[in-house]
Amino acid sequence: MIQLAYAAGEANEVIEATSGVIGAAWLVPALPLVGFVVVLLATRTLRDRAAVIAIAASAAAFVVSVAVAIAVLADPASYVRPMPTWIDVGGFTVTFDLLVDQLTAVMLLVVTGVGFLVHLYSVGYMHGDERYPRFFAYLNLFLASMLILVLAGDLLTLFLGWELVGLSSYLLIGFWFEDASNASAAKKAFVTNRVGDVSFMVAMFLAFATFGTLEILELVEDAATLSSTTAFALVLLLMGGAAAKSAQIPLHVWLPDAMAGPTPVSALIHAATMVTAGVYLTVRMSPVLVASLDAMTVIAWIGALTALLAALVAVRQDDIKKILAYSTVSQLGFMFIAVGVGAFREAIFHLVTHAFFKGLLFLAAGSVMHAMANRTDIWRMGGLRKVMPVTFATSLIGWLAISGIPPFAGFFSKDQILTEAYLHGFGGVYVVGLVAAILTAFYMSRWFFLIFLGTPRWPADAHPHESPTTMTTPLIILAVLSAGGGLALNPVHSGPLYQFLAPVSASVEGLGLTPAGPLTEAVLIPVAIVAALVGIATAWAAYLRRDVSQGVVREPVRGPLAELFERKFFVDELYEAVFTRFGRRAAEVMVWFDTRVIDGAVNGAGAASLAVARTTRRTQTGGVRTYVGAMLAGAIVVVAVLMLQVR
Amino acid sequence: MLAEYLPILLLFLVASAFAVGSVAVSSLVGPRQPNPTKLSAYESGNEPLADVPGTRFSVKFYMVAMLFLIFDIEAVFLYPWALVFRELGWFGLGQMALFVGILGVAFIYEIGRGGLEWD
Amino acid sequence: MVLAQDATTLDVPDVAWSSFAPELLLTAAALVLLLVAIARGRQLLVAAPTGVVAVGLGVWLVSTDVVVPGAVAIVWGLALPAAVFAFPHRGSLVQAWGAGVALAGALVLTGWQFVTVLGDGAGGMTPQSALAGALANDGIAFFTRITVYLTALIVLPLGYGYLRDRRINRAEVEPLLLLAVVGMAALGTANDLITLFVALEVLSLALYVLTGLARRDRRSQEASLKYFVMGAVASAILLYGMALMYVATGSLSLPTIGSVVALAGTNQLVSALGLALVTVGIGFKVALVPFHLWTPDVYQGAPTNITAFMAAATKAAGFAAVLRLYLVAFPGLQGLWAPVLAVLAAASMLYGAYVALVQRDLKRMLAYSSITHAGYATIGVVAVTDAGLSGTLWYLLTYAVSTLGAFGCVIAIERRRRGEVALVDLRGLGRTSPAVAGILALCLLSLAGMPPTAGFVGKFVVFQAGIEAGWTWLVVIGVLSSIVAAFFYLRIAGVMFLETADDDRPLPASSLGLTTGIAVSATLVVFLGVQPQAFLHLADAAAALVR
Repeated sequence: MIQLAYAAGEANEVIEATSGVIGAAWLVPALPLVGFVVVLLATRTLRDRAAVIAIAASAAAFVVSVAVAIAVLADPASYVRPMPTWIDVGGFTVTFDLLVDQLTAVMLLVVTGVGFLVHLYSVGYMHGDERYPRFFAYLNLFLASMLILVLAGDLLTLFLGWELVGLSSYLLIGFWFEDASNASAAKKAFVTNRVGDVSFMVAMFLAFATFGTLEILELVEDAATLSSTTAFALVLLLMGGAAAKSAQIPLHVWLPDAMAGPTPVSALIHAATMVTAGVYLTVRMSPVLVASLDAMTVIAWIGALTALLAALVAVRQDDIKKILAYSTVSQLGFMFIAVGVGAFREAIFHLVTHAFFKGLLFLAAGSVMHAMANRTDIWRMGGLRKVMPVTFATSLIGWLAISGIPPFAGFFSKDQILTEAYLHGFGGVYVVGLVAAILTAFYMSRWFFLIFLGTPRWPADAHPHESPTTMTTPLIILAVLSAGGGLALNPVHSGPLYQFLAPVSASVEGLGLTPAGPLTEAVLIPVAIVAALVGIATAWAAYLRRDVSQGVVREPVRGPLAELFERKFFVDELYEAVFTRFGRRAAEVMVWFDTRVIDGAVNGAGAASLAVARTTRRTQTGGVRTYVGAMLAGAIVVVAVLMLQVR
Repeated sequence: MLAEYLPILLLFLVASAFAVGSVAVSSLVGPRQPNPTKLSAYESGNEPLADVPGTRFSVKFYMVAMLFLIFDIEAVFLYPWALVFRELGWFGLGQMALFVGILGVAFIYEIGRGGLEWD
Repeated sequence: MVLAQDATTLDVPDVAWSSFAPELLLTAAALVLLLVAIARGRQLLVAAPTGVVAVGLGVWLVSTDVVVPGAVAIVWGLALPAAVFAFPHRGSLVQAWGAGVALAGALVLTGWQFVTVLGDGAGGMTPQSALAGALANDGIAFFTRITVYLTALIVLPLGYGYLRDRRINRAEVEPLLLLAVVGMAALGTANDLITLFVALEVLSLALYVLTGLARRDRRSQEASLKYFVMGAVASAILLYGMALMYVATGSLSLPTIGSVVALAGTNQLVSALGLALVTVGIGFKVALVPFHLWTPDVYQGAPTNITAFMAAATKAAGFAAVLRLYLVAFPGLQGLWAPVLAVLAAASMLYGAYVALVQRDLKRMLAYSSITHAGYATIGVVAVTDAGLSGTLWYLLTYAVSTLGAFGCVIAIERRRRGEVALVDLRGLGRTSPAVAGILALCLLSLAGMPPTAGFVGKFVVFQAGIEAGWTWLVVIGVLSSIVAAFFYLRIAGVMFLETADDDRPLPASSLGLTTGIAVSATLVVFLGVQPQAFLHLADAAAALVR
């Protein structure tokens, strides 16, 4: 029995579990995986009814997750469920062992819970789609991958899930591939994530070189022995991977484009679960993080800048889903602020509440789009309050939750992050975060007001209507969770969730952090509430006080800055110029030489045979001559290098 | 270190110098009085049939040349083997039988595919 | 000297037949199949006597307690006449079955070698040298045999229908394939410079001919000629390098060279020159930048099943020679060659990945990808560790199965289209034939190194070895190039699944052989990805070399 080096409170005991509820934990990813295969196979015979299998699989996974979570709650420990070995070569061993502890339990509930609701919602939303069963199959594949990621007891197995979620995300973003821009959005997401993967892989190599293992429990236990340089490099490399998956600057570009996928996908993958994988990873490795305060500071600032810049962009977007996408990027920034300032449990808390209210908002947006025949411009909406009462009421809760109005869920989690930032001495991060919070309240109010309140501005041919029950039920459930989730889980700083997660979150006590100033929580909480109110009030003054349908809108953010926000700080253009064009040019230069030769040899079919023979002969000898010449040139270089080394 | 190879290098240099030199000297010193007979290609005293550069040889010539080469090499192997045949005894006989057998299969294949027929 | 005049008995070398039993079987099979090829209506005239001889030999072997080879000989001796009876008017089927049974027999014999000689019962290997040190039966040899025989066994059914459709199913295909296989296996076993060179030539000559198999296809002809001319240049350079190594060390045996080359008295300049030329020659064979230029043309021009075979098996055999040359003969010069090889590897990984980006032809794209993969495999070589050695061997196996599957799918698509397969031809394939598209995507993901496929484990093991040996920059370049590579593999997948076909394109062909070949490759891609253990252990044990 090893005692883990989590200094925070009582450390977890490591227990090997092959039987009982924990022993059955492998079922959680296995069920949706089986669902995926069965649905794909059964589509031909069962047609649309095949979807039922997928929904049943997600429901079953949720039930097992609840059982596992209860088992962990009843007897907290780090359970290891032994599974077959994956790789075992030359002292390098990787197993499929599952790691089940408090953090896993929370993540399991979020993933399978929201996952199940999104499955349910999709029944109505995707109704009538020609590839209806396939959508559910992909959703199941995603669920299985995400659960592998969450349950992995080894960094490499975690990476397996990490790549698989990327793959299923790719399939789902490009689900409506008939539109070419969707397919390219899918590719952008995948390739951006590969950039993060490089970082992650190098991190794994470094970890293995340092610790001789990739098993999470052992890494975490030995973290204290890290030298500060290694720790700095390791943490930043891990963060590189996390930043891509969780859309942090500068790798955030893929997430807004990913909104091309069907809305349930945006809710499940690009708001509630997959994008939080980076947060999960960093919290999971928190004992390694605390070995380098410098690296944590970098993370905190990445989070703060992302939160601020994404919020600024969201202020000037007009697409119902793009606003939510940038909002997600911004909220993920808050989670990384929490990770960076050492408030690991607050990060998970915000992850959970964000899954509730952002999942809710996305599903509500989907409901609105469903009603408006897939129109997405919020300026062509307004007044939907009357025709879509359920969507309106649930969105109201979601809006209040994300804006940080007590007692809704977002208030507690966001406020606790900012407070911790301040109390841990990150004054600058606190201020930036506070500004981002004001902006959040502002752009979400703008979103809410322009869609649901005011006068109708939709075109005459739109006939908005309330969505079917399969869609509104998940909305209501998530609304309840967004309303009461914060209060129930962690209303004060050492609430139940906080206590529950204590054994799996590293302590920052040893880092010698001191508050940034004399303010206490009694001051900071009212400041946060006032910030939210300021944001809402500004939005009210701009979009609700006057009738925006008259075309006399005065956006509070105007001028060249607004252009900057609207064009998303020109990051896409920058990347296009630097990477895509440069890459293409480089490839062209390299290929120039042999395409010329080959085209010469290949073209010209259809001419008289003699002429062809003559042409071919000429180009052919030319080709071989050039090739041999190039080869000899290379040979001379190799010879020269080797000879010079000897001398 | 390289000194042991110096004689080889010298020989190489002398040989090339001689080759290049004699051609160069003869072309520099020799009188130049071309006439059509002198300029024509030397074809063992016969009239050249065609302009050599640019015409194609039938691929059959290559075929025959290659086949000749293969069996020529076989003969090259047989000579040293014959010299030590007694010392090698049954082992040597078996080995050579294997070698000739493999070539024999190739020979049969060649006949079967018509490799020895000119047309 | 052999020409000695005095009549003393010469030392007759001990021929350990068992040490090259699989190659012996394959050579015999190739020769017999050549004769069957020209027998036309009288195939039984060849098959029956051969069968009798083989069975007789087998019975004799069994009676002398050499049971497994005896059984293999008997089975093959019965299979050949049986095939002639079963397919009276279909000579190419007889050829295919004859070659297939022989390859399966070779695999069995390799296993038998492992059990009786190599394996030490505890999962490790005890290397043996044979034929006065000319052959080394060790891990490299064993693993190369497995990879090459397996590849050939998959390629046979894969290409059968393809060759028939194109009317290039000449009877020489199988014998030449078998001879190439023998050359490859011998390359993996060769333990002196002469054997190594002869093996290299045996496989190269067979491949030159196979490349030009499609006699009426200009591109196939061009490919064959290019391959031949450039291969000859490379062979000459390699031979020159070997000669210089002999000059420097006074030995042709790789282990002896290894023990002499680093000694103070050895001429470092000559060894370095020899090493450089050997590097060039062998770099050509495994297609490392800048000696790769033949690869795209030849891969594109050759019949697709031959391309698949070349990509998978030649690479494995070539790298076996690379491993043996650098790790047995030149470890003492590590400081000299490792940086050079590392630069070549980096250039190959980047160049291959980048140029593949702009390719439109699928075969050509896979050719560039093979250049990239040569770079990855080289990482394990420059590590100069046991982990690197086993990593490279394992990587080549994973690459072989992935690339075989990918080329198999190309064959399936090509057979109906009767022409080149361009990227646009794949549009909407995910809809029209999900099985082919799915397997192609799987194999491409494996080539891109996505978990949980074989390719991921391969890359990871090699990268791990590289990092451990301190080649961080090289591994970073490897990972970076794998992003670029992922981009074009993904583009293929995207075209298949995320685009719709704009007209009624013909569906991919399917036949029993093709389906079997593709299915086996795909199964291996998944199996080696999820349960790599058995083979990884073998690769690990393979690090014990004849030194």
